[in-house]
Amino acid sequence: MLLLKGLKRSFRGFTLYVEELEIPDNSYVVLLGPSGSGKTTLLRLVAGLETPDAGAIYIDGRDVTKSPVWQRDVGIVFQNYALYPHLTVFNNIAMPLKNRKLPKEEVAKRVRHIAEILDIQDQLEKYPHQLSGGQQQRVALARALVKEPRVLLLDEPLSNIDARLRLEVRGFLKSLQRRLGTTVIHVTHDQEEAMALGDLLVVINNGRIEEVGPPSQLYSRPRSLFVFNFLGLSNVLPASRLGLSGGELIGFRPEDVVVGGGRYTGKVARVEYLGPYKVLEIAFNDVVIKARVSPHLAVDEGAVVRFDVEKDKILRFPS
Amino acid sequence: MRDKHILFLALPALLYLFSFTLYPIASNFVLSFYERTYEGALRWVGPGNYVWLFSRDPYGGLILWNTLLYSVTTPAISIALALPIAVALKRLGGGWLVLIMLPAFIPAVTAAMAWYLMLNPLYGLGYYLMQAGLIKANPLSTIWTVVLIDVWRALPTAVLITYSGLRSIPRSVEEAAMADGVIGIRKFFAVDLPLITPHILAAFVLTALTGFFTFDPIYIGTAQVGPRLLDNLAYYSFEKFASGEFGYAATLIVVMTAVGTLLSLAYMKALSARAVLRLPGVYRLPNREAPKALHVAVLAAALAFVFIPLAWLVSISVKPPSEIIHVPPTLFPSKLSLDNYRLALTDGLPFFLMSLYVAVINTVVTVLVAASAAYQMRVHNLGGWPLTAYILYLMTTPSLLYIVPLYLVVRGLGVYNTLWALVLTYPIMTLPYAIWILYNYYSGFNRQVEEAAMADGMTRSKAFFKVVLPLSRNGLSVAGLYAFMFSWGILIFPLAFSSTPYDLANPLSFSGAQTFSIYISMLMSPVTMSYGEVSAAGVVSIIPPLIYLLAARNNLEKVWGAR
Repeated sequence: MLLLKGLKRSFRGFTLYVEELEIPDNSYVVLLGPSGSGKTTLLRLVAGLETPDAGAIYIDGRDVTKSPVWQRDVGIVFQNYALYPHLTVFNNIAMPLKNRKLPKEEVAKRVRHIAEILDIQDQLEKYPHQLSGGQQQRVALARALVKEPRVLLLDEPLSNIDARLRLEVRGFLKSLQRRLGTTVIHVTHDQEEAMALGDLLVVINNGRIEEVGPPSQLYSRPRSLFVFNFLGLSNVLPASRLGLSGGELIGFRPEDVVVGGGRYTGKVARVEYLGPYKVLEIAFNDVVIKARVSPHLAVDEGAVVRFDVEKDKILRFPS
Repeated sequence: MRDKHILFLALPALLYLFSFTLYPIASNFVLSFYERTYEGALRWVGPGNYVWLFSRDPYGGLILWNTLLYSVTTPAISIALALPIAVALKRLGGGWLVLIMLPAFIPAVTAAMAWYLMLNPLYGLGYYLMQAGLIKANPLSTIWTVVLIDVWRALPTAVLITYSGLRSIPRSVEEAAMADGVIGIRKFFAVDLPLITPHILAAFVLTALTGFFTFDPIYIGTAQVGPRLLDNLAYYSFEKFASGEFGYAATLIVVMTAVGTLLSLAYMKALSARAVLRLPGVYRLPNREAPKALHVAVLAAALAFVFIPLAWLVSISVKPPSEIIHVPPTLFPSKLSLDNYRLALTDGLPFFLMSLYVAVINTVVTVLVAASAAYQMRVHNLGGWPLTAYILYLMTTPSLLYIVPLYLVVRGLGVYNTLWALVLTYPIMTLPYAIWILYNYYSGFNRQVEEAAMADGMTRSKAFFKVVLPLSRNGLSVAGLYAFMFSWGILIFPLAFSSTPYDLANPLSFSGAQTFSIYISMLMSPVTMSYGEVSAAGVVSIIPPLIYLLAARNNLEKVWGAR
């Protein structure tokens, strides 16, 4: 178990502060936030690449706050992979083992084992510049995992992968984590990637943790308005606009809007066709309401439609 | 998108360089098959000059041996010293770099003079070194003094290149090494050293060129100890040129051109090298940071090496005359005296003015001409790699190669011993260097600025002068720094193309073109014994480039690429 307590790091007018964060074993945790929110700083603090101004980090109850990165039992995959350009794939992966002066046969055995898991066993004699981006990433993963670390840290691992391959690599990362059973901390700014991968999401904004929870909970029942907006398309408006009681803001997802009948009437201002569905922007009572409808629904811009909002899906946020 | 403006803008530089370099290189080759007779006519001797050099010349063996020794020891020692200094700089902060760079920016003749004054066995620190038994032989008469001076002048280049190599290692690779538990001394040998191999090779070749073409220290040293002891090919060929043996001088220069070309090719190869230095047994090295005190000690020793000769120079320059020629020498002046400066600034005034004129004119001309060529080469790929390679080649060849043919040209044009002879010839050495600096500078330049200006209705030439040039100030100031430093301090061109001091009685004739470097070298003779005046002149000669260096310091960092 990884535990962060009262962790603080400031630089250039920015402060990251984590009051308390507990990361359970064998889970896939995603740190999610907009750029500049402090998520990479948090990862680097856990890695030991940055030292906190205050607070403590515990791995399995052991205080590692003062330990340098190589004594923390963490594996790191850098955003640009950071392979050693002058070493072969084998020697890249073997670096942490050779450094511990393990016997030669042991090094070879463990490198081959991890290379097989990552399906790069036939690349071992090549140099990094001879590999594709995806292969380089597997080498970086192998180098991080060969030490059998307690925690694997991934810094935006999908940002340098072709859009085409991203889904495939995403699935691979998750199944790798399931197979090896390590704790993974994955940093990203892509909410779809975060929800697809995470057992647990940690949403960070402006140096603070907004909310922690499983993706389904954060998507449909968030406590924080920021999280609600950040995790997908959303409608946020004062409750009075829909004729509801209370002075606070209400929020609901476009898919919770039912078009084709109901209490409200509005004019379709814009139609976006997105393949599996359409998004309508309905002008109503001086606000714009986004609604998700079937792609087959025939509706033109300027048409007047009736719609309703599923009552039990409406969230209330203090304004 | 090609248009004739691109060629037009680059034309001044290209025309100048091709006519002033290709012709001399070819001309040397032709001249090397002739000898000049007693009457001054040239007579065909076939390969006779070459046969003479390699088999008959009584000094041939000594000169080839000295040349080899200078060209191997200078880079070897410089790199060996530069690596620990670069590591210390990285640990303690790059701000110290500018101080270590100083020897590269002061005139070579001043550097040589300062060392010979300091090592003088009667009136310099050499006295104490011999008393303490640290050195046995007279330091003035050993070729190792020349090596020492070369190392002093080459060290900044070696440190700069290896240091920028260390800084070019991506931070994430360094962090990956940390995560793998490879740190400190072991990390340096297992990760850093292999990754900066191309930088080390480049630094090796550049400093080897310094050693191979070393001239000023031998010129000064020979005045102290007599001829032929310290000579290398460069100095010997100059002697032959000065005594009118143009054919034999050209032969020696052809041999040097051949070796210099090989070194240049090696340099270009090094710039694109994929080679890595891999040491066996790195995992047996200690896996910890070297203590900070060690880095501090290395940096302190480097700064002492750089500044002790300069401090000694300043100390002599303010001593009263009676105290300068005094055995044993005093370490500090008993009282301050400015007599030496008064002398240096009155006797030296014509030389000083001539140096200043040519340095300012040549810096401005070089920078403008170089910028308009470099921009087209980089941004519009004018001339492709052959032109770039040729510029790089010229940058690594020394000015000495051109003196014999250009002497004949300068004579023929009737500008010998005037300011115009210097203005005409100086760009040969400053232009390629400036083009190379700006070529690299423009690689990071946003070319859309030019396109936007053209979309606003300017021609390409107008866009260049109105928009690109004003935005290139950082690059121009660094290219200008090197141009100024070369033109201010060089010895060999004014030695070859002038014979009298600037005629102050008739200042607008700009005739009499001896420069401040010549003034220093003339004073540095054991006959005149004017050590006080020469040291004051030396200090004065440091001041203009130092002012420029300090003014351009921040730009240097930008252009060198501070992280």
